[in-house]
Formats: sequence, structure tokens, C-alpha cells
Amino acid sequence: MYLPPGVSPTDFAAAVSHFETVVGKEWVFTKDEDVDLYKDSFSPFLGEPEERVASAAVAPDSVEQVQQIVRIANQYKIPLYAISTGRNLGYGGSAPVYSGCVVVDLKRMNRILEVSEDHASVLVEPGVSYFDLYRHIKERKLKVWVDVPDPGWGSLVGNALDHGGGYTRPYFRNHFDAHCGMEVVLPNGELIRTGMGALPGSKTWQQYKFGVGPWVDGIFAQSNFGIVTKMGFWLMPEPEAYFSGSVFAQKHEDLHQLIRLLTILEDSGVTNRMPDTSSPLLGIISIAEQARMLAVEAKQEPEDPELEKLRDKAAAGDYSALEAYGQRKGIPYWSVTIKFYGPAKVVPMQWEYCKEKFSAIPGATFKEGELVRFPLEADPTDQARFPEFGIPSLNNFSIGAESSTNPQPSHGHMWFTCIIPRTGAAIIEVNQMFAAAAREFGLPELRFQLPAWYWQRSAICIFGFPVTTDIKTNKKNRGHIFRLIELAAAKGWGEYRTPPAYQDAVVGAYSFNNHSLLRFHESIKDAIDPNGILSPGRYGIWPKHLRKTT
Amino acid sequence: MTSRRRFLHASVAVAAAGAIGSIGTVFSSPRGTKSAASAGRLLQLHAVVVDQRFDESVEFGRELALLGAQIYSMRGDVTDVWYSQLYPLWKAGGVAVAGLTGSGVLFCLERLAWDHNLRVVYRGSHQRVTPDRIQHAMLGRVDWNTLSHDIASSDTTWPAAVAASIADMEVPCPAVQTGQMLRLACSTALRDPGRATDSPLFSWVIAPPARA
Repeated sequence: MYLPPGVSPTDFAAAVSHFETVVGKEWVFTKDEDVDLYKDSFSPFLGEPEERVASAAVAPDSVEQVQQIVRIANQYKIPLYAISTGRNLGYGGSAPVYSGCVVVDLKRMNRILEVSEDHASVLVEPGVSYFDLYRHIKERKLKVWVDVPDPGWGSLVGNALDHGGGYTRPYFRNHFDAHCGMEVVLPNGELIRTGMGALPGSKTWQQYKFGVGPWVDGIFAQSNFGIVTKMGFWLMPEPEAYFSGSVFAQKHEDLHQLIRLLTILEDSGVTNRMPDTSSPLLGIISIAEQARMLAVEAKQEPEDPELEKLRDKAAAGDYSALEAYGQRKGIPYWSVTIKFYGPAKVVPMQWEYCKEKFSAIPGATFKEGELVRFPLEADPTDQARFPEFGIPSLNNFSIGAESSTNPQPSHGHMWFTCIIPRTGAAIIEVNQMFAAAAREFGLPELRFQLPAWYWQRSAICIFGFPVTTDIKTNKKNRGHIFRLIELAAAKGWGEYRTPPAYQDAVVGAYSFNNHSLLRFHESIKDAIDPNGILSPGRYGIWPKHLRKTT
Repeated sequence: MTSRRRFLHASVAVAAAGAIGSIGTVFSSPRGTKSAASAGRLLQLHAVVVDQRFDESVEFGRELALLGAQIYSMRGDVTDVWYSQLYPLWKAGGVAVAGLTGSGVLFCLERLAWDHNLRVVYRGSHQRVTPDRIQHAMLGRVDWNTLSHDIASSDTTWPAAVAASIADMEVPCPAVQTGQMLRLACSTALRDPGRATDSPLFSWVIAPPARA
């Protein structure tokens, strides 16, 4: 057993005994065989002393129990770490940031408290997964969708609080944006409700976010200022139809105009689903196409050797020969698939409007998709489409198995994910940075990549590293990520989410005015959690007694 | 020692000779069935997850289905098997499920099973290392002597040998963690290299574990 640092065995045993009184002995876990489950399945510290471990876990099933647990923790100075379903793979999973914490496992708090079809909203506890809510909606034939991430096994509350995202309309696929109202247990055990929830008997807790006065919800995301025990979300009314169309551009330079038009059209609400972008000539496939290839176990066809040589030339900045190859073979340089949810009569017209706008790009061609009407009679046979229809999936777990498209499986991944502006220039610049970094790291030449479009007003660039069973490789890869954090910060790009191994470094990059934002977070922490018991270190916010002085 | 495995083989032979009308009659339900000489309680396997892309998995499932396990089929993506079949089953009460699948499916189901106090109690990996040999590494409470013999035998295929060993597991057995040292490692010749998959496959049993 790994005791919380600074806590005596006597105090720990007393705290555990009190936890058992609150939740029942069967819901307090101290044996290794149970506590071992609270590890990061994708730990970049696999087999190393820095691997994050819990000392115990306690699983409450009510808000009152959470409050009592927090009060006991204060009494005995036991650090706690709250998780919802603990499936935040690639971002720490169920392991605490600070080894020795008692994990507060909120899985048993899995009630769907209210779903309103009329207001397209839901109020849930943290243990409710996307699958749970989807099942609830389907069983009752409600005409609402939940926006799901990939995979869909995680918690709505947990995903939103770590700024996760999905695939449908902009205001639903940013999961934190889609929330409306919270209930939170503060580090002293006090219970608050935010927004309209602070008005007793409120009829609009899930309809109006702000209440009156300062809107505090944001401080409970990616932080350790409270344990969220209820959260409201806006759901997407089931659309009448879905339509898509693809735009193909022929020249490398067309990227700028493509992204500019895409951004204007999404910001104007003309297109309203996460777009897919790819480059058939450069060999970049979209997220949707990746999912489709996994679903059908597609074999990667060998590439034309001439094409490979031309891609190498393009990587060095000479695009003209590749463009000429594309013209000859009828392979477009860029492909953007834009998507629409809306009335069946309207969505094809929205596509016509988009075609008009994209026709400003010389040589642009187009291809229409099919009109899909809702409700669907059966789940789509193409499993890659599940998330865009609000259907959760575990298809992602085809990754990791050895296959023709993934001949070297790993034990998970760690992502470096920085936010860049939604411009062609930024995409080119970040690719130049990644290519230079890959050379510095001694990695194979990195090909051009396109960002992900989860957020409406920005783009996410992803550089992934595998987690392996080799300690040396993992150490080296961690070093690469620290270096990428520095390089990106120098360009004005910050990460939006990161696993515990890098949280101090990523937060450290947000250093405006001598790290004034972090100092502000620390002052809140000192005020509301003077004993420093809640999730120490999460997103770089350390309690005073654990804070490094520099 | 008589075991469910030997009953299975014997009955297959007898059925082939036309002496028994249906193998299903002999093995209509394993629930509560004990082998005559077994001291412990045998694993009561409710279902077996089969990935239809792999002949080995189909064969593994067929062997266990002869003992009454229901087959839950998929092709790579375990979503529907979990959502429609395993989740309602596990929510209602812990039942044992086996499978021969890719690593991603095992990874996913193992974690989902934790929510229902179930653990992996047997795990094995089976990876083709040369065109005609496959490397096995396994851990769990099986009869290693018999499994070692059967898996190397030319009388049976390795999926059938592994399935038969699982069928003879005595429960409850402790959880087997990922990364634990594997108990049996050997390589065997492939009977039909042309049909064997190149993808590494993982045999597993998820069940209520013995508690220390």
C-alpha cells in the first residue's frame, strides 16, 4: 500500500474507517488487487517510480456521502482525487496526479436525474456515461441527441470538465460549452449550485447558464476547486435530415482559401457539423476515413513509388510536380467534406450555397453525399458514422491491435495537442514546426498533417507518441513532448488539454505577467482548500504545502 | 482424471459413430455440472465473444458453444456485443465470459467489466512468429500439463486446446493482471498456415474473481 505522503498510518487507518462508516465497507478499497485498478492504462511512466498510484479508493453514491468524505479528508489531511468513470485515456485515466491520493470514484453516482425533450436538456450525475444516456434516450424514443466523443464509454461530466469534444453541431460538440448548471461539493464539504441552480426551486437551471453575478462554472473545469456532483447539458434536438458534400481543390496554395471559406461558412451557421479534411495527394486521411478503415480492417494499398518521391519533394517545398501528378491522375490535392443538419428541404440548398462560395477557388470540383433522414430505421452499417449521428461507439479499440494499418501496436498513446488559428498559414507553420522537431528528435521525416476541427473558432494540431513497454523509449518520448510544449509556446500556441505528466509544463507555458494566471489559481486554492486535500497538482494547481518555490 | 474436456472429446467421437443423437443433449447446460472426479467448482461460462474475421476465434467459440456457452459475434468492433449483450448481462449479475479476440477488444471489455466487479482470470496471447509457427504465452488457473500436451499435439488445434483448458478451469480463481509474468510460453506448429491469421490474438476469461 502506498500511503499518502505526510500522513501517518494511524491517521490513514482512522480515515479509512470513517470512510467505511459513510459508504459501507464494501465500497472502500484498500487491497492492492482493487487499488491497482486506479492506474493510468496509458501511463507514460509504466514501470517507473514516477508512475502515479493511489493509496485507496472510496466509491460514494450520494452527494451527502461526498460531503462527508471531504470533511473526513480535511480532518485527517488525506489528499483526495475525484474521478467520474475514470476512462480519460491518454489524459491520465483513473490515476491521481499526486501519488498517494485516495481516489473518490464517482461511478456509483450514475443517475440520469432529468431529461427534457421540450427543452433538449439533461441533468446527470458524474457516473453517467454517454452509453448510459444514449440508452435512456433510445428506450424512451426521445427526439434528442447527445454529442458523443470517441470512444463513448466515458462520463459526460468528466469529459466536459476536461474540455473534451465531439462531432456534431458547434455548440454541442464543445462539451463544456454545452453544459448548463452544476452542483459542486467544495473542498470544505460545502455544497453549491451554480447559475440558476442557486435560486431555490429554480425552473431554469438547465436553461440559462449565468444566474446573476460572477459565472464561476469555468473554475471547476481542469482544476481542483471542487467535486462536481451534478451537471446539466444542452442536447441537440434530433434534426430532420443530414447532408454532406465534398469540395476538392487542386493546388497546395488553395489551402488558404479553403480554410477561410470553411471558417466563414461555419461561423455563419451555414454548415453546422465538424468538417472532415484530407489530402488525397499527400496521403492524409480524415478522422472519419481513419475510423472507417479501422471498422472494415482495410488493408493499406501500396503507394505508387512516383507519388512517394513527389511527396518527398513537396515536403521540401516543391509542390508543382505533385500538383501536376494529381491533375494527370485525377487525384485532388485537398478534400474538405462539409456537413449539414437541418430540414430535408433546406440542407441541399445550404450545400448549393457552399458550392457557390467554394467556386471562387479555380479548378474546384464537388461531389454530393446522400441525404439521410431521421429517425434512422437502424444504426448505420458504416460504424464510422456513429458519432456524427449521436451514437456512442467503441470502434476506437480497433486501434492498438496489430493490423495492416497499425503493424506496431503500443500500450496507448500520449497526445501533444496545441490550439492554432483556423488559417492555412497557421496550418503550414505548425507543420514546419513539427517537421523541424521530428528532425531534432531523430524521428522519420514527418509528413504534412491537417488539424482536427473540434472547436468552431480554432483548430487542434495533434502530435502523438506511443506509450510502450520500454522505459527508455517512454522517457525519450516524454522529453519530446516537453520540447514540443516549448516550441509551440514560442509560436504563441498553447495546449488545450494534457495528461498529468505534462500539466506543470503546459501550465508553465501560460506565463503572461510572471504566471499571473497560475498565481490567481493558487490564491483561489489557498482560500477554499487551505488543507490542500482536493486533487493536488491537477493542471498545475498545487496546494501551498506542496508548491515548489522557485 | 475425468474432465469436461475428456467428456467433450469422447462424446464427439461417439456422436461421430452415431451412438448419440445430439452432442447438445450431453452438454445441454453446464450450470451446476461438475465433472465426476473434480474437487472444485468448474467455470460456468455464459458466453464466448467471437471475432468472425478470424477462423481461430470462430473455432474457439464453437468449442465452448458445445458446452453451452452462447456465442456473441462481432467483426473487430465490440460496440454492439457490449451494448446489446454483455452490459445487460453484467448489470444483472456477474457471469463469466470468454473470448479469443484482438488486444483492443480485451483491453476495452476488461475495463468495462471492472464496473461490475469482474476481472480477467485467464489471459493468453497467441502470435504468429514465423510462417508456420505460433508463439503462445498464457496465465491463469488452468491445467498446464494437459494444456502443454494438447496445444503441441497434432490431434487438436491450438484454439480447441485452449478452449478445452478454459472449460476445465476451477473457480473462483484470482484476477490476472496485464503485465504479470505469463506461466506457460511455448511455440507450436500451425496446422494450416494458409488460413492462420497474422494478427496476434488474445484468449481470455472475464469472471467474478477469487478475493484474497
